[in-house]
Amino acid sequence: MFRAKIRLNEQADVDVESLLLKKRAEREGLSAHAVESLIENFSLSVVPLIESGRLMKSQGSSFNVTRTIKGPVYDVKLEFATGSNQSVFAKIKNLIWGR
Amino acid sequence: MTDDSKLPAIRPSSMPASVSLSPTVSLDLSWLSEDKRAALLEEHARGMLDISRKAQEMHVDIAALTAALDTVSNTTLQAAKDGNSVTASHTQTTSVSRTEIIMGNTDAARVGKLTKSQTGETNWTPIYIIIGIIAVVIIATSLAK
Repeated sequence: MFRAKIRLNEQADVDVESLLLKKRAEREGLSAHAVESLIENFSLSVVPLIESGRLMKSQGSSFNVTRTIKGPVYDVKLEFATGSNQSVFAKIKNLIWGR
Repeated sequence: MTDDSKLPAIRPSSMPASVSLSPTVSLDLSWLSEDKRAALLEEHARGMLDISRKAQEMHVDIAALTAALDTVSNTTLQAAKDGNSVTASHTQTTSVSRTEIIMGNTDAARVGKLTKSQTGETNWTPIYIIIGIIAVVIIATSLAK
């Protein structure tokens, strides 16, 4: 089972993120068919979130979304956040654990 | 019969003898001298202009807030319909009020309390904790020597 946790904001590039996820999934040994399904679901989930995130950010609202992209052989948790100031603990956590 | 031509001429005044305070109430100014009436009317006009400007500002602020809240609610609804767990918040301070709103389909939205980061305030508690830890380490190190 391929598991991943991805944090994104409104500045994310869908193509770049998809490519990174694809490489991770291939490295974990997912079949080409499963990778294709995962990337398709990922793009379908992320594109509207980025559009909404940009809209919300432009008017000063915060927008936090979590979603699990699940398939027979993958389980990807997506955390999308935009507009809100990160707490100090969150900044430290991100610094230590990365994205 | 009096001879009108011998009476002092009455100069017709262009100054209003009353001022309207509301659609149904007006204040009689006829007992005031023309100079005082002019000063009072000028002050009244200035006050009306101030009220009008404030009303315009409030109208613009309320229109902006309405548009922002519409966007938040529509975006949140769409994200929830798409199967996401979503929490959206918006904080806005206008000339009329300060509005804090949180909506979504998560527990955080259900509780309805905005965090300091969501309201845009700085939460100093972690900084104080870190400073406290550093102080304890420094004191412990100096005592150990």
